Amino acid sequence: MHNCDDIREHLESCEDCRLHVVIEARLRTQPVLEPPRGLVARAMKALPRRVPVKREFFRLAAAAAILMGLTVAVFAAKLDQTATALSMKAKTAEAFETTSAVISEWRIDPWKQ
Amino acid sequence: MISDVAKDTLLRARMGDREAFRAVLESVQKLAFNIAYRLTWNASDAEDATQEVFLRLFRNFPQYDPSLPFLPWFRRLATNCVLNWKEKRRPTSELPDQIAVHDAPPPDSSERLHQAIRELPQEYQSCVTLKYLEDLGVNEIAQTLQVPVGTVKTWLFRARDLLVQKLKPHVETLL
Repeated sequence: MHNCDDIREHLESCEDCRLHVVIEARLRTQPVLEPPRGLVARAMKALPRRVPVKREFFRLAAAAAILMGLTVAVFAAKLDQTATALSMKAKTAEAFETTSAVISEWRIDPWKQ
Repeated sequence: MISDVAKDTLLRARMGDREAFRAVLESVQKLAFNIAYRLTWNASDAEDATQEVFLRLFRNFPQYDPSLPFLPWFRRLATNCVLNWKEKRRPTSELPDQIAVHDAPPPDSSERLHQAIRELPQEYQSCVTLKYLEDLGVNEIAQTLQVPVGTVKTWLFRARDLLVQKLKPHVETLL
């Protein structure tokens, strides 16, 4: 084990080790810089706007309530029984049946032209 | 280098409270800027990289586990973010530096040291920065860079060795 005098003596004669010590000291004493003024303010300005989770929840809840209200109103006013609604219902059912038939046929024989 | 960030401030910032987030940035700006500076060695680049770190912190804050210490997590985020930032803009940023080196007057000892560090491989630079800026031990550096402790020891040893080799011709200016 070396004592301080041995180390000092070695450093005086060995340039490599002296350089190691100097570099180590230089690295340890590098100045810590102050960040530029207004850095945080500029960063805050550049942040994307985020919608708070709470507000987003209330928006979704309000939309769901309005949708449910409209559905109830349609049934309460018997709007689904009007001639237009009934004809639309029939047409939709017909389109649905046709589509189902095409799909079933395709599933049975997918290579049929 | 960093004042402690109160736990409740961290929690509020994590939940999207902008004022709490600003308080967190105030606390970590010096650390972030110095990490960025020592990985870029250019004040303007360091500022841009720090802005990127803050943006990444904002986006990734929900991933922070409040039961763990904040600083090691932030240090890792900042280091990786600056390294990614450097990687992305390497083709444009390196050219002016190279030109400047040829045109500039002979550098003083600090500039020589910075230049030598800048010429080290990226992983060595990260190790040197974390060790000498933050005075971290090898375990903490390994945690931050997510590599084994042995790797950190090797990188630090090689980094110091390379620095000695690079600076040996200019020993007179250093001593």
